[in-house]
Amino acid sequence: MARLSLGVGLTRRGGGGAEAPTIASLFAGDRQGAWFDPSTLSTLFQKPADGVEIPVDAAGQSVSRIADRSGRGNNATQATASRRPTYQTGPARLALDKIDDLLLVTVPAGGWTGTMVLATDEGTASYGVTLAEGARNISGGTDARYLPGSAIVGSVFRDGALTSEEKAMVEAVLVDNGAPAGYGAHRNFTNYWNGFSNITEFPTIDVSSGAGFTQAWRGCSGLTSFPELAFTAGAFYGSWNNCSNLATFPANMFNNVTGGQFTQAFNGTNLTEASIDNILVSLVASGIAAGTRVFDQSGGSAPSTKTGDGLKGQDAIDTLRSLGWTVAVTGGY
Amino acid sequence: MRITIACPVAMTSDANQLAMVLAFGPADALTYGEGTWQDDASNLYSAASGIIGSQFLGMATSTLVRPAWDTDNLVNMAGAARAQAAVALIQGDDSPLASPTQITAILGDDGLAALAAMGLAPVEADL
Repeated sequence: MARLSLGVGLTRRGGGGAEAPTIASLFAGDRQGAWFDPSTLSTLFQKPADGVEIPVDAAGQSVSRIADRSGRGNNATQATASRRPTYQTGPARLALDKIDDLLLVTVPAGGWTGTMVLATDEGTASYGVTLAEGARNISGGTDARYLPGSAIVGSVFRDGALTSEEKAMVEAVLVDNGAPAGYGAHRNFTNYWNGFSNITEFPTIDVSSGAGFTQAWRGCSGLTSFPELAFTAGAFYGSWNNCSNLATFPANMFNNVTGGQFTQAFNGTNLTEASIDNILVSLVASGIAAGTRVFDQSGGSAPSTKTGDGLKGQDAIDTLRSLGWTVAVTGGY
Repeated sequence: MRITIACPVAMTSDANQLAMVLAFGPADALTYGEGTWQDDASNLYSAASGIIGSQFLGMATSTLVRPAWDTDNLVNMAGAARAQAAVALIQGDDSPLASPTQITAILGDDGLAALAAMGLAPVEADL
């Protein structure tokens, strides 16, 4: 029941007397941002003719505007008819055709640097984002073809990072509105965050069921580091391709992976020596000795040079090649 | 009802004139943008997909009339007519494959499935 009370826009008093945050309270004191909530039907509008705007009142109608519930007046619109998403119910959501649909919010001067909580029909997560001044997609992406799902159940942007508690509160509200929590049951992440160049911090999501990550983070040029995700399987064709600022990548990420498809996975990145070593060592640890067995890196630092211990850098590459891998890395070794 | 349209990049200027006539206003001049879809021969297409009203198909196949909102003659009606002549609305046993010589349109609820039926895939510049 507590969750149900969170989304109404009022500040809730916690058991200890302190005021617990609500989504609306995140924007107190003229804090900038936006809150898009398709579950509040009165925020949705359609344009059945030029110059005519009327409320959306039934599933299947195109949405030309969604009003911002943050109180900051940052409504999102789409003037071109074919690019409008469709209102659907069960749960209430903005269905996107993943061809040309998108709603645009005009980010004011100074931009927003903070947090985006995005809930789709396939999962919910909080991201660090930097959105420059101008028209921005309310999905946080830059390409209408790509989204971690096929519909927006809700999205919240706040200039100024949310705390862990605030993120959890917003995610709980969006889950109450019908979005799945997390991505733990999801298998195919192909193209999910492709082109999400506004993301500066990617969350630690559950990818344990994931089997396909082709181009999943391609072009996420705002990322400088990547969290520890527990990959257990999957094809990683082009997964981090053109993440041009990605420098830091954790160790042991692929120890338990069973596929060997890393073609162009790290091309166009900016990995440090330690990070490319982390990746290569992890691939050795996976023990993959069958299947595609291709790994590509370009940009950033070359792997560490031989020490003869067989453990990292060029030594790890030697081991991989002995297992049938084709490996191309920065520096040409 | 949803319609999904693949427009060869060489025809997008004319197709956007037609979009303004068939949709609502000047903003529909942005219906067709970059060529982000391609066929097996690497021909590029701009795709659009949207919900249409019951009168859309009738308007699309009739003699085009300058929209009432276009009092400043923004729409190039000759271009719109060229685009209209190039439209192939796929029906029955027609081949659904997109072609660089026509604007291919398919009716159906799933826009991505329509593009797949046309033989189109997303363009990825660097892969």
